[in-house]
Amino acid sequence: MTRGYDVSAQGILVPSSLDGSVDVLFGEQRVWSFNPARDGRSGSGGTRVDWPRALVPHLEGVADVQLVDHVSREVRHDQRVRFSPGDGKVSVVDADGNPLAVDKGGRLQRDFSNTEQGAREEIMDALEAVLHDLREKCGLDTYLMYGCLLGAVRDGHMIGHDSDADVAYLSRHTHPFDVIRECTAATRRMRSLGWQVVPMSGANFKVWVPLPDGRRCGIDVFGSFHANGRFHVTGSLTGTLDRSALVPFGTVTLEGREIVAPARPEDVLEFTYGPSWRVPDPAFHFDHDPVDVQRMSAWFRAGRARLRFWQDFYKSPDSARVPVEPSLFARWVHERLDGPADILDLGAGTGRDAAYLASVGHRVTAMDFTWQGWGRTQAIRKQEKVRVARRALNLEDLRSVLVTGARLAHRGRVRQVYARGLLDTLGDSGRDNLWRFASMVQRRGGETFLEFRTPRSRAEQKFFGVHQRTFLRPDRVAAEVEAYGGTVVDRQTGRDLAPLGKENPHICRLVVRWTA
Amino acid sequence: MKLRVPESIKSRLRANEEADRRLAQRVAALEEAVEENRKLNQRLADVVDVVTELLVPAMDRDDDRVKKALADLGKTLDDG
Repeated sequence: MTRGYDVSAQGILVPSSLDGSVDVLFGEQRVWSFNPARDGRSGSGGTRVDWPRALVPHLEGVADVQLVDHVSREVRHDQRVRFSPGDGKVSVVDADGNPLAVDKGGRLQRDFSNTEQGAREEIMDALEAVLHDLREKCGLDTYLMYGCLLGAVRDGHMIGHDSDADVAYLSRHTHPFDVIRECTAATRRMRSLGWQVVPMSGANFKVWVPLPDGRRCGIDVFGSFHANGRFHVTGSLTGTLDRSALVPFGTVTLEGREIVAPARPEDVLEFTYGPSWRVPDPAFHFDHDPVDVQRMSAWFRAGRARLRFWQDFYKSPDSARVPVEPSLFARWVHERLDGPADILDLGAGTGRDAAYLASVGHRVTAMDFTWQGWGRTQAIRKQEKVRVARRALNLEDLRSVLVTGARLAHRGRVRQVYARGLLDTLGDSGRDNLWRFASMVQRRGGETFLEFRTPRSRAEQKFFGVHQRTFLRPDRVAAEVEAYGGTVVDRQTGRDLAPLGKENPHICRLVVRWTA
Repeated sequence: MKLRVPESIKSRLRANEEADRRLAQRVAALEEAVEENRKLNQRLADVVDVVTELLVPAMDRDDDRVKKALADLGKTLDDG
């Protein structure tokens, strides 16, 4: 073992003197890169770096681990590591066996380092086609940005540790409101042209392009604009960059093709990555000023607040701790209903209550903004031979609420709204949207069933540890409902209504009607 | 030797502390208001978009086009 180094299931220990980016290889495959000075904790024995969360579930069995200097390719350390009992080899691959690596956002992705030349040509074809439509069909002044621009300027190639292609467009607007409208129009236009488009915020989106080998490549499209004397690029890049660094556009060469780029790409790269942008650093991650992040989040990402949290939660081992049997509240609601009903289960999560309510004869539509947890109750639905419809609803997104609410309200059925634990997870704007949604879809009758923790549970230990939770006084909820024209027709509070493990929270159940 | 701080200085210190506390409260309230105003951009843009897409077919009493407009608006939703 190299002096000062040790790799174990707990993390990686390197000498305090080690600097620069280090690639972690399992066999031949790069699975992650880190920078000890930035990602580690200094101690008497050296610098200790934890495994990234995304990699931990894969650390089963044995691996030949190499720590390699990213720039010089010098092997710093080589060690066979047994992460758990058994002789199986550690495998970091997707369902199709493709190698994965942790990207700069902390997620496991396929990156370009494992991409053959043929596929690179196809990715470039896709990039050019998307750029063409953004410019010619959407009227956006689009240019190469982030990792693609960096790779092009450094050596004319895509960066191996990148997993997406990045472009940006220079908005003609200088107010966030107009920037959002411009992005919405572009999203709609790209969809009408047949592209698979996923909005990532109010001012950036991802285009998924299928590749001939069955894979798909993500092309991220970032809105950029000048406002109040500063230049902003979504995600959260904000600073001083003169317009002359961007326009008139020039070109750079990427994988042998001429692609539109800022007028002075070096200035844009320094603005983006700082003065050391020329030194390759796969462990790089942005260290934005929290004030800038907060500003961009409020402008463009309010609708995605909490989405990543729940996606990550349902991907994490904690997801397996969510019970699969129905909640006491689901049984309580079923007993109150007079025969089979149409039920909208809002914030359905794993679908445990949706499956139960369907199994006892109701027509259930599960609504949520992520389906990561849905697979947990698939076996139950199959066993019970029940069908639960699914529909996307994001209560933090007013457009989602208006459009989905209007479509449901138009279909003239009486529906019940079921929301267990939902108020606990929403902020003020999400709750405002919930009342709007419920009052829209229940104009023809029905009741809204709510269950939530009260402030008396705030300081108590929780089964799932730290979450962003809202604790609401029942009186406050009732007042909000009444302000929206609803009436609380039943109210119960107490304990033993929703026990989970050692947690027995103080609970409020409300039944609300939106019609006289 | 114990230093005796005159009552007038103590009183001024208390007043300064109170002014600082009030200022911190005002800054927190302003930050909250700014945050709320920034979020209005997205909310207003969504409302304008929905109204713009629906207004003409709704005025025309063209139910099929209203349904299509709603379906198209739904397509721009985040599919998580």
